[in-house]
Amino acid sequence: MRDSQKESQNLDSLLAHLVDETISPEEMVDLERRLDGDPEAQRRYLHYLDLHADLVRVDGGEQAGPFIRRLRRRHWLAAGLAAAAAISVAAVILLREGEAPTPIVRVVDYDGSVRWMDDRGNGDTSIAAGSALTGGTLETLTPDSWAEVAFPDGTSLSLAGQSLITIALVDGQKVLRLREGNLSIEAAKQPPGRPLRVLTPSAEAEVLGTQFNVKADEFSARFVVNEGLVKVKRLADGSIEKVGADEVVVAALERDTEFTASPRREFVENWRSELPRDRLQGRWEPGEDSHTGGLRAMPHLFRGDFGESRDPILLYSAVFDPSAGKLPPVRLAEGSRFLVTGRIDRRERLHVGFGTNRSRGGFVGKYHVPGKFEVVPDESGRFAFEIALDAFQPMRDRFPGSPVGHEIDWLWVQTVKVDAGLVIESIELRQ
Amino acid sequence: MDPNSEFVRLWTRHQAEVERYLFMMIPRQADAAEVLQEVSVLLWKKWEQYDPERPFLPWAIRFAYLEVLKWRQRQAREKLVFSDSLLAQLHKRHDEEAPLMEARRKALDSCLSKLSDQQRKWVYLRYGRHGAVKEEAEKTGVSMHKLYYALEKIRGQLLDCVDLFLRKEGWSDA
Repeated sequence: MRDSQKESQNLDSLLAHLVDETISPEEMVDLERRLDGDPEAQRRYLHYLDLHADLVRVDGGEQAGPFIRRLRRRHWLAAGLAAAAAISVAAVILLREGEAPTPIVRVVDYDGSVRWMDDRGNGDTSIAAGSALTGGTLETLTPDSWAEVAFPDGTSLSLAGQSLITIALVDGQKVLRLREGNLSIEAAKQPPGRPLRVLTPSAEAEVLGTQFNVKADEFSARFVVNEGLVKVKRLADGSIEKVGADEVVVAALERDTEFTASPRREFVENWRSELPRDRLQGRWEPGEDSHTGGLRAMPHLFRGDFGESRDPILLYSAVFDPSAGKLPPVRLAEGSRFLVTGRIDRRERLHVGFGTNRSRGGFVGKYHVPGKFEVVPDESGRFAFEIALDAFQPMRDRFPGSPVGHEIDWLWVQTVKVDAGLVIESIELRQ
Repeated sequence: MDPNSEFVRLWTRHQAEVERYLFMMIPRQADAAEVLQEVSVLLWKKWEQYDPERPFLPWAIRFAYLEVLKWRQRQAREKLVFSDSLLAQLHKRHDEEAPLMEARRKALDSCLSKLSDQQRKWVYLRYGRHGAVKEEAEKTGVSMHKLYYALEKIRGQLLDCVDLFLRKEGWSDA
């Protein structure tokens, strides 16, 4: 048995004696020695005692499973009840009042397929622009979907592409958990001691008032700060980095990756994709003798736009992130063209679009080629086509008429309803 | 809302968290209960100083820590207590770990459902009714030592399960 394992078991044994109140003075000395100056042992101690507190019950009952929920609401120390007894009637009334969910954000606008579920698990399909929402989970389901919500203090959040965020207000503090996807935040000045918190699978950030964009997946999060200051904590090792205006940092789960804020690189106007680096959605297929590698469009369901109820349809999408990691932003210039190459099983109609940020700013719009245009593969199944930037139109009236001057946040190529074996080998932007 | 009602509302909402904190610092239920009482009285006395713009729980925990230190002074000759130095370290660690605790508790619900029927029975005996472990030992002829050892293993298993659950959820420092 490894020493660390044995050490951990010995610690557990001491902790068991502690919570069972059978610990001897000698064991207590031993426990103090193990905990003193050892953060890992201290964590284990806290978790062990919290677990014990969760399992403790005072009222008897049946099997373990369901009792935890009841237990959380119980006061397992009678003294606490005594202290609260004199005021219990008022407390009950107030608590009942407190149970009614209170709206915390308002929907500013949305586009594409968006779902909302409140803290109690209720989905609301009647939500529309202007609706007030309680705490809960907001999901944009497709590469071309987007939603913006705002808190009463003016702090606004834009969620775009395939993204999922949980929004909460805890004692007046805004807490956002971005499980995956693209989030753009324009934070108003927050009250002292209550910074806005953004949690991702690999990092946590705190801000008092700023504009920044976050792109997260299960392994890493990229924070691009346009104004103000964001404090980012990498969860892998607890290290903290302060990211200022015009800086970017990537917090990955692997500890040996770089975690240093660095100046945002100057934008480029010509870009060529590199796979799998730029993959945002889709399956990377390495090249073989007969063909080069590419991003295979993968299926996902489209269940209708916000407020709409329709039979789900399948979309097959390949989605690219041109500014992955610390790559420079890609700015759209007048007269630019996209050149797309790939493979497809048969003649099929494609849908192509992209989402943009303001230059050194947050989300600004989504653009696509209206209708769908047809690609015809050659004998080897390959295709190539060019689209002028002028051909892209805003997907909502509120988006600026032209994306010139914007930075591309993500772009997609997809087939609708049919799996045509679409694989995108490269996308190039050039003038 | 009048100040008294506001205190009741916040204390009722956060009392369980303060209890947990105290139990982590003073891992004997009777002692923790005594200190909790003192904390509730102290918070009420200090209520006028509370800044409603700031979160209640950290404010309450700060006073709870002071009461823990006072309790520690009274226990100077007692051997089953931690040193001031370790209490300070645990207080700091608790502050760091607090955001994870709720997620851990949620994960525990799932982990309990993964226990075998026998393991669940032992958890129930230990935590369900006072004296049930002893009765079970007498009834089945299994030694108390063996039952408590099994419980120790189950707690370890639950902790590992919670850690794994949280890592899968993306809480990499769980």
